[in-house]
Amino acid sequence: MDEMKKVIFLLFVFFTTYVFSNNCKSFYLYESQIINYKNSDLVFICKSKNGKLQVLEIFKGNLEIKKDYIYQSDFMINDNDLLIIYANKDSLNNDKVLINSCSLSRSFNDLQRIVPFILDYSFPGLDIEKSEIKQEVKILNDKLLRDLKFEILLLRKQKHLSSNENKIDQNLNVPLKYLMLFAIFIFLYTIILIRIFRK
Amino acid sequence: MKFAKSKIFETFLDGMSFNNGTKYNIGDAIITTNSDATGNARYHGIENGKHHVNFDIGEYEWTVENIRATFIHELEGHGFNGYTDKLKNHYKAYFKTMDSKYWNRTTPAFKKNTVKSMYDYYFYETKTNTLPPKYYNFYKNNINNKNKWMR
Repeated sequence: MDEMKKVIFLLFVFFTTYVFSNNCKSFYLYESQIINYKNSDLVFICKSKNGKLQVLEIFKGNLEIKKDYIYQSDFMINDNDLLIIYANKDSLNNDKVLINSCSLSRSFNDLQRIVPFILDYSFPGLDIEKSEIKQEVKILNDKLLRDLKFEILLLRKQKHLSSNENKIDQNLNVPLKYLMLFAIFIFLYTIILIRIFRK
Repeated sequence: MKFAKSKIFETFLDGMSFNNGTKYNIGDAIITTNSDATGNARYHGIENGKHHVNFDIGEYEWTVENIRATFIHELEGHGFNGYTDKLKNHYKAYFKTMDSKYWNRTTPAFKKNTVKSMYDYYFYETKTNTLPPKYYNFYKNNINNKNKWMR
């Protein structure tokens, strides 16, 4: 009987669909924004076109504006949607991005996708009358849109700060190089002087 | 350490049964416990002829029943039945967890986490708040659970 069950298990293995899915961790929105930003190689706004993502604005990572990228996603992305994407690079293909369903990636037309794992939001409760559901969903959608706009502002700010940090680093690097050379020169000069005086 | 952790999870899963009666033995699937910033558990599809499930549970306790019930969500829900966000039937994978014989012995934190996710995905995917009676009762009985694991 156990052998039989093992055969059934193996049959399942060979005949199941190839899908990816998750049991997502819940966070407050601000926590999730930080975690998603930190754990994503790429953060950008794009438009979905013919099964690809055309990049419109980049917040993090090496991407090209207006270029189309292929993607692998755990959730449905419809054509002609505007999306914010938190993704990782595919190590085997530079033109491919990997999007997971627990990320804050979402279409501007389907903001509710993140509600199940973001603690700031909730759908109308079980005991809400049908007539009231529409109003509650509208309030939720308004909040989701407001938060998305603020998230984009934060990402723009973060990008600006990061580019300034890079400039500061570059500016610091030039005098640092000269200082190092000067220190080496002084060191060598001192050794030569000591040797001369000893003689 | 990572290896030891996955071995513990494998031991917890060994000998368990899915809802359809199929028994699970060590080695039937690939079990990993790699760090995952956003997922408690993740179904990774089939690798070398075996289902691959990763666990990084952070929102409820690692008890035998919690892990088995999570595994049923991942493997029986997403793996065997192909329930997924793409097909908008993710909530059915949560139904599978609640249908399992391990449900009653899972912890309050696990139950609350599961019924909340089940209802959120149900509403999002079906656009209605009318749960089937069985799951309505599960939700009502567990949504107000409170313990130190809960936020």
